[in-house]
Amino acid sequence: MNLNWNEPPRPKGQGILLALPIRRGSFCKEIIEPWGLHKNSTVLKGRVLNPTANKDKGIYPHQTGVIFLSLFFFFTVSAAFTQDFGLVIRQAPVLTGGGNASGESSGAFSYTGTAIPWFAAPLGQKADLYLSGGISAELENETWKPVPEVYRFEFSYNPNPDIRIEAGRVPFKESLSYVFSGLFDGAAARFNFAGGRLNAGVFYTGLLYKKAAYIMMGAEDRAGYYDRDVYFASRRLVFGINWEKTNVFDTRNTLYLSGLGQFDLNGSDTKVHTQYLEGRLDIPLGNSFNIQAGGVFELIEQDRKLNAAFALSADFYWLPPGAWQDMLTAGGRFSSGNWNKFTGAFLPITSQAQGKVLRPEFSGIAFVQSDYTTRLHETLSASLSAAYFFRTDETAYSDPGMEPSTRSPFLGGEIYGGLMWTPWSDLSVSLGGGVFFPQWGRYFKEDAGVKYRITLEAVFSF
Amino acid sequence: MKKIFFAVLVFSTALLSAQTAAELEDLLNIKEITWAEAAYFTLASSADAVPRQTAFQVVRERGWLPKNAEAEEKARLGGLSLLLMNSFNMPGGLMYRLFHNARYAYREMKTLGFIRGRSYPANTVSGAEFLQILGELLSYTGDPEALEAAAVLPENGRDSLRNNAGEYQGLSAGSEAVQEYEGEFELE
Repeated sequence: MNLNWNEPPRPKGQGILLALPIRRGSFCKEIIEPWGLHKNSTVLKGRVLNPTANKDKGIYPHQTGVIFLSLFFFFTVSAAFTQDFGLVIRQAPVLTGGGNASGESSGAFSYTGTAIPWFAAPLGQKADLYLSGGISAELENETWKPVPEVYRFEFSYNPNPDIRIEAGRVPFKESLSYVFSGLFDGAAARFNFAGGRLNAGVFYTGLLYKKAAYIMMGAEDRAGYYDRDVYFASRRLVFGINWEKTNVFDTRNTLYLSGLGQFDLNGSDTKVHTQYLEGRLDIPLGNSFNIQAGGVFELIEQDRKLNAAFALSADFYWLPPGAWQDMLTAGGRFSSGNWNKFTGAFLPITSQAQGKVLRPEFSGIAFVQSDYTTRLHETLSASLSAAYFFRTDETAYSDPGMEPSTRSPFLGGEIYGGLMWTPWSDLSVSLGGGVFFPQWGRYFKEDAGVKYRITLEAVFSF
Repeated sequence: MKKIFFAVLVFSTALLSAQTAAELEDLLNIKEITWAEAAYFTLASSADAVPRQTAFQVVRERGWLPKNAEAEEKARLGGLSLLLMNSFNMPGGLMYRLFHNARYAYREMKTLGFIRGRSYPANTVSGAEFLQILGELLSYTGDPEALEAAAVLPENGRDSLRNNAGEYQGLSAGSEAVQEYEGEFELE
């Protein structure tokens, strides 16, 4: 046991809904190659990034059974060599709807059931193997869809306590976690030196499941994402380097600096290449308060044009005194829009839905939010959050319910509440629900109904 | 390191009459502790001190050890977790309550963050590692007010203890799954 490699503390009050990477990962080269289903094979060509071509020959969903069997076989064999293993079962129904003009009804029910077996084994004194994968059953538009995925699939090597090298499908993110965050195929290395930490990696996104990667950088990415017959994410080569320095200038502050970039490897004529410089500063104020502020500067190269974009964020945290650590968070984020020929809409590599009901992508959007989490009982916690959204240009955000003539930046506000019940350490159940009020803004039609979102999630780990 | 220091402090208090600093120092220097040593120090730290010669037999009779454990065999992390869970009367998760075995004891200790970093149930355990785990466990089960009254901890240590005592009461659940993702680590 190497006690130098500590796992981070779990995020206070953060439920599985936010923390569990159920949707991270996708097919892995090692798994699909033996079946002749490698991404470069004829079967796959033209499917991933050209959703309109040759649909009936796609890997997905017709080959799902083969993929599932290969996963099952692989994990069965792997189990014989592992020293630790487990299984995570997740059930997550979600009901969303609203937003239409009065009198029209709308709503969508989706359900995802996932089983994730995982295995871990040491490879000698300094290396480890960690494998996890599984299959989800997704109910969407009244159609069941099996989605086999590989999650964390990692070989790691620790030559000494200050160096760690990882390869496979490994976690990576930058300090603000809104440019590039998740599990990715590639290699990363982490170093401890001079009171700081350095973390660098190179990754390829084309083997990830599209919903896990959630890459929405161009029109072709979107077309693939919404095509039910396309499995893989947009093909991009991503590099990143993170540096973390604690106690900067002999204070308790922590400084994070990151540099990232991605090259578009898709075969389209409208390639989008981007580079990012990011900084974040954490400022603790006493034992109960913390300020976190950061920003990203981005260069976007598209159609031989170069644009700049940026995003800013600031959050304030307060931990009221008490044995059970309640937490109040307040803050906001701002992302640039398409303002002129020099400044474009901020474009992250992996998108993340912002807020909990409206859930816009973080591009041409700004919002302020506040959240309070408290524990009602030893096994029950509750949270209540509110947010108000703006758009920072007139093109980046669009919604079918918008008022065609509007130029207003005010989108509206939402309120969301959640309960998390944890009767035992291996079982948690989360229930959340919220409403977005378009009438609080001037972007939507006057008779637009409220949007709502209700989620229930149960996670059992054994 | 802080946890080891804390465990040593608690040990020193609990073992004042029977234990010497030399024994604690010896424990810190052990590369792989045995079941007998684990049994003795575990009982001592849970205020259930028994003579060193009989500690192993006591915990074995109580059914707190894996069935095949022998006194002079090297203790394994899974079985050690079972021993600690039993001796501190930890309730554990649903699966631990159902099966009450080393595997789910280990998962519980891992979930609660007492066992950190690179580890497997079959790992042997050094004296320092054992003390660190014990320190985490004592932080979790200890009574902060009593320790404050005894002035065992410095001011910031009390806050840390209070926070720990609350933090692990329930919100951290399902965290095996979280840890799976978080597989990410922090360096000391």
